[in-house]
Amino acid sequence: MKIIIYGNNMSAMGAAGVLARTGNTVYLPISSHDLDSRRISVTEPGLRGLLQSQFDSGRLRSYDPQHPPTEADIHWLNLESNAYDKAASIVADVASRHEGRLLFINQSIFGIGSTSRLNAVLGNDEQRTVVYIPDSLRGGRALESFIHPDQLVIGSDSQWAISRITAMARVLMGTNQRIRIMSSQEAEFATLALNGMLAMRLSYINELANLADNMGIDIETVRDTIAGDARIGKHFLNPGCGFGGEKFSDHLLLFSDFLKEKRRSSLLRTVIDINERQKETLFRKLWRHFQGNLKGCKVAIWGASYKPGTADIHNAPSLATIDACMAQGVEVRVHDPLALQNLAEYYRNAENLVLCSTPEQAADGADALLLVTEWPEYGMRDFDRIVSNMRRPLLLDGRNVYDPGEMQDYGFHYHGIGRKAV
Amino acid sequence: MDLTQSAEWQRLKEHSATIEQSHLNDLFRDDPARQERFAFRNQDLHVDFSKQRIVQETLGLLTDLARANDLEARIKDLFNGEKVNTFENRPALHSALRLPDYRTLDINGSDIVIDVHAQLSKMERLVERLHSAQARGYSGRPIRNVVHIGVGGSDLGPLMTNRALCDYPCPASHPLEVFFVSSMDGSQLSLLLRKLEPSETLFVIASKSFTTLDTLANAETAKDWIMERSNVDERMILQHHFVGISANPDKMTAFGISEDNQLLFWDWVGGRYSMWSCIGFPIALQIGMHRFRDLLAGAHCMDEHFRSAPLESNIPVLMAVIGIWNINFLDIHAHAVLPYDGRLARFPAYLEQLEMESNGKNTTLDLKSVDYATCPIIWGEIGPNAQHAFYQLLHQGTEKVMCDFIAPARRYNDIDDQKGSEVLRKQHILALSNCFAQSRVLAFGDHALSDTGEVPFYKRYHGNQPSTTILLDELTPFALGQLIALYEHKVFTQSVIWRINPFDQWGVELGKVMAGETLSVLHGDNSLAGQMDPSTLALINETLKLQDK
Repeated sequence: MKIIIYGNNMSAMGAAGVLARTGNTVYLPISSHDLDSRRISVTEPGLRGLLQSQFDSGRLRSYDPQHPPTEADIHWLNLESNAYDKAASIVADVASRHEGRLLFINQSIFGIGSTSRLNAVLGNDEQRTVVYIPDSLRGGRALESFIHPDQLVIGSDSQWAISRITAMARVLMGTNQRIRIMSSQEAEFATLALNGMLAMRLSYINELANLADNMGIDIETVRDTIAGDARIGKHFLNPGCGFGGEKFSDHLLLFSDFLKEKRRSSLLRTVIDINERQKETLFRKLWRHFQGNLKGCKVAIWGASYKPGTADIHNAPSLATIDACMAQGVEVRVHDPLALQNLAEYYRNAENLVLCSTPEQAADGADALLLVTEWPEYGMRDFDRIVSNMRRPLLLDGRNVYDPGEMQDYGFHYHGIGRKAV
Repeated sequence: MDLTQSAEWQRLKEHSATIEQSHLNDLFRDDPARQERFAFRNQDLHVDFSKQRIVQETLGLLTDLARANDLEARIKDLFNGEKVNTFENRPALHSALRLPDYRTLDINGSDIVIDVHAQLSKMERLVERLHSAQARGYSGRPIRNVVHIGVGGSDLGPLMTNRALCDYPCPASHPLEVFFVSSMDGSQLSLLLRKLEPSETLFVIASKSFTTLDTLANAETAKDWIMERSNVDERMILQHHFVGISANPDKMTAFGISEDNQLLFWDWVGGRYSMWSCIGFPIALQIGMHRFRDLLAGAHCMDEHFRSAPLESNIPVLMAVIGIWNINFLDIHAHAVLPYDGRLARFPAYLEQLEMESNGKNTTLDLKSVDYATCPIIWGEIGPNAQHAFYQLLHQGTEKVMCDFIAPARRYNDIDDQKGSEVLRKQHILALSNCFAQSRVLAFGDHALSDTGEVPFYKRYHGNQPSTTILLDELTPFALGQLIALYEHKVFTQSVIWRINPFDQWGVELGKVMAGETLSVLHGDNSLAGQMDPSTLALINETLKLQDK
């Protein structure tokens, strides 16, 4: 099939790579040259290689966004949440040039009901339709989650479109897929609702952790107990220094505003506020430890991406921490296995930011070490050496990765999230 | 020569006898072009004097009076930094606070424009820190509440301005609220503190001398409150929760405010002229630094007009001499300030201080008692509300009153996303219609009606109450800056003609001394009680008795 992808975000690139790999001819508004020159940042492991190989095979082709190819079997929309107008103009433009059947797959979410509005642009014609399929991309394992989502949701009332997509899914994902078919509005609602649920769990456990912090209670024990109840389960219950990511945050904001407008409900707004505060929790611990006198301190930060396995730093807790430290005149020394390039672009010419190629280099001479993103490689290091090279052995563990007793044995002064300091 | 003996004064006296004979109705009938003749514009302000009881000749005689009193030279002195505040031997350079940074002004061999802009920059850094949520309280959380503690000139200007410009959104990245506290008895503060989270609250202590009792009493209460709730040491509280604004850095340091958190102004800025200095910190916090600079630019625009326009078309000068005409020749001693815009609610209170503290004087510069009236009683209220309160007196009372009507021509025009803006626009037009209607009735009485018919006497309106109408194109920071500076220069011009010093306020000093004595008696020290009058002593005894209960 011939597929045109509109959009150049991670989901667009993920979809393009996988679709091209399964034999489709895919057009993407990014060129092989863009990838080489790193004008487009590819934060997903494995994605750059996949795209390159598909460009090489000739199945993946680039196009000038001003002049998209004229015809395709599927028009695939992967735009940002605030780009509804752009989506509408693409749909109108394609419709004006095509007779007969038209299939758009929309993976963008511009709000609940926006896919219906796009269908109205097409004249609400069964044969010319926009189908909403939630973007199941999860940062850090984009390709995997694209091919093997927990469930495939198809939001459409067009029978022929649904048949065509289920057939395609069978090829792409195998036969054992859980497929749920519903209206596009329901699918959009469900996507945002799911997102909000995850965020609520995180903010809830974080709020509990902050409470435990002041009470000498270990949140990890509490968390294990809650998670042990079959009704609740263990996912998205790790206390930490906040969550981030572009899509997750955008969608949460979108849904929070929607709830506020329709129901005057501030539930999700509170969830977001708690998270924004949580992103500064390590900074606050640092602040209190040094009694508000941080000027001239050196602080090491381990992990800058919003979660391990990606170079993406959108809304990452590391940014809030770095901003807060730099505003106090702190020298910030950051290590991250993938995200340093993005960080360098984000903080162009920041005087007090040092990007370090090893975790040890970051900690060297530091007054405090902050673990912000739990990359696996931070788990086991030569902590004896690290402690001896730091100016002050303060360890703030933003993900409760380390065993407090063990860290104390190394000579660290240890603070976790919702744990007794040692 | 005494002012009232001067030829110019005498000529006005004679002229007033003829004008006293005419009603404003007559003046309009005799001069169909007076609405053009007596209306003036400077940038965003349109000022209409046509409903004043003047004719062309009046303005000529009044500007003669101004010239005879060396007004032009005195304006130069004011701007050049001469010591126009003679009794305190210093200049009054509020105009220098709004000079652009490329200008220079040498005072005692140093360019004060550099100092002014250095402090503005320091203030800007503090503002940015607060706006970007990087100013932190003791817990490390960002500051979200700023409580400005000051009184008089350290309070009225910023308070009035923040209310006036409340339509402009605060450019902070997170919710940031600015509060004002001034009352000595702590009632405003205690009410406010109940709502605030100490770890997120910053106190701004604003006092030119940094010895103002009212302000320091509130500051101590604020410090106690935050200390009690935070459980951290005093040094940390002072460093992260207190900013000082003063002309007295030593006193700020003694209070414990760190140098980074000290904003300075200078003894050549009068308290009631100080909102253009770092006293404007709460304004910049609320509307952002670039809009604060627009405010300064508006005032500077009026400065340039005042220092360069010929007296005959100089709006502050005309406003001043028409005031003098009303007070000294038409015998009007009450002045109502009537804004037709709820955002200007605090403007009358601001002018009360500016005018009455400046020109409420009875001694001339050469230390003689004046034998003429100076500043009248000024009061005011949002016009439409005052219509339901004291306008009865304006229309049918026995006092002659001059009025200033103030209104923006445009409002709600740029609010696209505000639902119901059309309805709000209609409300604004409704207010304007009332503004114009009231000034008409005041001027023309029942003659404003086409047919007065058989109206009973108690329903009649005499009219002939003079007024000025100031139309702002829109209530922007720039226009507000112009408006305030207009009144500042009006006050100065009047002081020149009245030969008084508008820049001191000795009349408020004695009360402070007496309060100190009285306090010791209230505290039970009877050594001073013997000097006290029986009335006050009886009040004190009654109070002490009641407090023991």
